[in-house]
Amino acid sequence: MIVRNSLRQMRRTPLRTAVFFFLILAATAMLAVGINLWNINRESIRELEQGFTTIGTVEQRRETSSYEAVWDAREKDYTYRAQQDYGRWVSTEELDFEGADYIIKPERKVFFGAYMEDSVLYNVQPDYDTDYYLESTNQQITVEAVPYETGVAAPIKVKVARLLEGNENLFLGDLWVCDHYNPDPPVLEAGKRYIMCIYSSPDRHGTDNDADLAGEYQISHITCDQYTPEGEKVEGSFEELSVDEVTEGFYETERGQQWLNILDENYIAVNTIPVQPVSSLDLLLGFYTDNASVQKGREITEEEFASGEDVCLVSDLFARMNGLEVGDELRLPLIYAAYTSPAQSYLPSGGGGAPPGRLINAQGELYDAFDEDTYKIVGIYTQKIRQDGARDALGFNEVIVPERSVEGDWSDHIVSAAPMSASNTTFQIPNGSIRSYMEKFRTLGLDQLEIRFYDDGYTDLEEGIENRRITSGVLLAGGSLMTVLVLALFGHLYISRQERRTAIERSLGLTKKGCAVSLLSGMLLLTAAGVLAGGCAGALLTEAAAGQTEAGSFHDIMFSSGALETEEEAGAEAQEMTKKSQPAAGGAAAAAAVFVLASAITGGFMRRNLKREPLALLENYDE
Amino acid sequence: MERIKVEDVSYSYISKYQKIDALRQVSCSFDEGKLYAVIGESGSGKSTLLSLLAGLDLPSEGTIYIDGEDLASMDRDAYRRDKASVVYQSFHLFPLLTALENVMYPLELKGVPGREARRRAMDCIAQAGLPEKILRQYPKMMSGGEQQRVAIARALAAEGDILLADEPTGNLDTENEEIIAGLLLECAHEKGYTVVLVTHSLELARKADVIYRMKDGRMMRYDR
Repeated sequence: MIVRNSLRQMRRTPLRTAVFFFLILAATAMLAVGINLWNINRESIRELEQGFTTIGTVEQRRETSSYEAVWDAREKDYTYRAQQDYGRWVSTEELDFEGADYIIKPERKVFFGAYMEDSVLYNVQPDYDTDYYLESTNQQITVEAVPYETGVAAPIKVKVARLLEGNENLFLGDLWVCDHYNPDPPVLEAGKRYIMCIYSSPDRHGTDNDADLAGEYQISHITCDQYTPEGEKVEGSFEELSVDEVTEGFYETERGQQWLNILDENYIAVNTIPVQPVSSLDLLLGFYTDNASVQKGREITEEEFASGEDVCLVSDLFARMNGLEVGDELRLPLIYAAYTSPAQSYLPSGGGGAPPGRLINAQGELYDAFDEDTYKIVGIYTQKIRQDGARDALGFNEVIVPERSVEGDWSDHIVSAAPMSASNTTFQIPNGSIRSYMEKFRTLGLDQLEIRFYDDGYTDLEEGIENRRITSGVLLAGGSLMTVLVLALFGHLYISRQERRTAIERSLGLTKKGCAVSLLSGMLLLTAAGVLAGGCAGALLTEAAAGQTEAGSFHDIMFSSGALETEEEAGAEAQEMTKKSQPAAGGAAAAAAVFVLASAITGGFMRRNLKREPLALLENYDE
Repeated sequence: MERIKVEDVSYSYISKYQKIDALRQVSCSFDEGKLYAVIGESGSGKSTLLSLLAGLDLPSEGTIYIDGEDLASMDRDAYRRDKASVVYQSFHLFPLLTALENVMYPLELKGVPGREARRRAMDCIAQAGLPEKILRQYPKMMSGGEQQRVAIARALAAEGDILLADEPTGNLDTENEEIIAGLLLECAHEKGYTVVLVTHSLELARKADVIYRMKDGRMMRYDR
């Protein structure tokens, strides 16, 4: 009876009832659209965040210039060469400043050399063969030579008595050798046999037309290359190799053994491949820029990176040369570590590169393997650009392994060291935080460092994302505010201004609870109908609104450096995104929220009405 | 037989700026089958007394007994629903309900089925001397006299035997005042109701069996 009377009284104020119904419907629909767009945006922002990575590289610039005096045997005087110095090497720890919200902290990337004695290495020369190379090159030759006359090696004519390594075709006759840059060249005695490592150089006596001197070779000064992790050169028992007299039993001596090691080192050097340990493929520019991508198999998973699984990716060229497939195993004896140039710049001879240091330690010994494991090939990658030196190229034979899979200690196997550079130091920060990072970085005063960021166009998209976030926020807030205002207004009209009705009902003996039911039932039933209709309308409107929003994002992406997509693809993504956001759920949530809010607000108004005694509500105080 | 006994009742409330003592130790009683008139100047406390008798609020001090039971300990909603009906000067009809629906309201509150409630309501409207055409009219379509008679019909429909009327003829002309007075007397003398009438009208008061006069919240009795 009470409910019927309540509805009857509402029905008799049709205009007010209709306005309330439509306002509640509109508010619920607006709220539903706001909730759904908020969800869609959150989802799309999450996907965007996952699709983009912001990485930074650090380059320490050379600070000072000086001139180095170099002896020139031809000029018989010193020449001066400009030389630049880094000064103090800045450590990665100095970049760990407060407010640097790193996802991956700056770390100097190391790469390793694996000695692959039985593998065939891909080279720019299609018919490349290591043995042939060693025999045919005239870049570096090791010989035993006998001078015709006693004299200083600046230059001196010698007869090649024995070719230990190099192009034998070049050494059928005599040649000139010169310790060109040594102001105090050794005196070589006629008739004695000397071992020396020589190479062809443009800095020589005579001209190409001077047949006698045209074949002048310069004597190498061979040093060891061993560094501490801090970049300091390790001093050991090894003394520079330049020219040594070969006597009976020479090769059994320590010095002689060191010469034999140099011969082996040359062979080892051209049979090593770069192995790049990483904690994420995104930190390799080649993969980051999509120059490289896995063609067969899969990428290394986050779990494998985290646990340091013995899995690897190999290049398609290396795989093809060695008949390797996904699932095959590859044994990687790691013999050296390098911090200077990136792995991609190290190509076996013929490609213009070489190991970044001599592969003999401070004692003149060959580096042995500090880590040797069998890796399972999980993917074979290919790359579009293969030019040597390309910023995002990878080495032809480069193998990629999880950083944590290398457990051996390489601190005694470091053949090259360098300060932070774009090729050896990278870090990752959250998308969109470049500006705040740089503001804080500038306060450090590390002016010798140059930071460069790669965000794949995220910064260009950021403003669009923020606009969408604001739009959905405004709709959500607007819907909420409108709902509250509508409910407050109609709560006032239907309840507060119905105090007299409550008083009459109470004077007729209706309980407080009955009075509440009498006033609220009609309003809440109307609200329920309004929120149901509003929720449905909101769900329908969402699909249209979401389509518009995604169409906007399509244009944003078109002009960013991110991946391009067609309009059809963008439309399909929009539909997919809208499905994911479940507009019906958003509509239901909005409807439920408005109804709960309506119950709370009207309940509040009702409680205030019922607090007053009917006597006060009716009249008579003013007697 | 004494239906209502008022014993040393005081009532005060806080107005905007001060405490108002509307009733000061009022004592009186009301028997069944009699019409009581409470007269006094505006602000003397007579309507407040009537509201307390209706159980719309409780005295600040003192006790009101209904059939010997303290009103404060009673279910006052049930008391108003079953025993006491109030008729107000400004009628207090539901503006969005028709005359018939207004009169049916207390019956429906008691759980009387619709058809029966309708029949009884129509009887009460007839007793109040209202024409049938008024049944479907809303209060705003009626004259003041008609509205007051609908209010009395609603009080009759409630079937309580205590009828409390606050200036029931205050807004009516002489003719309607006579009709209303007749109805109230009929309730007291023929139906045996205890009728308490608050009025400014001495003419109406003179028709009462007992007159109480109130001044400054205090009461004096004048038996006829």
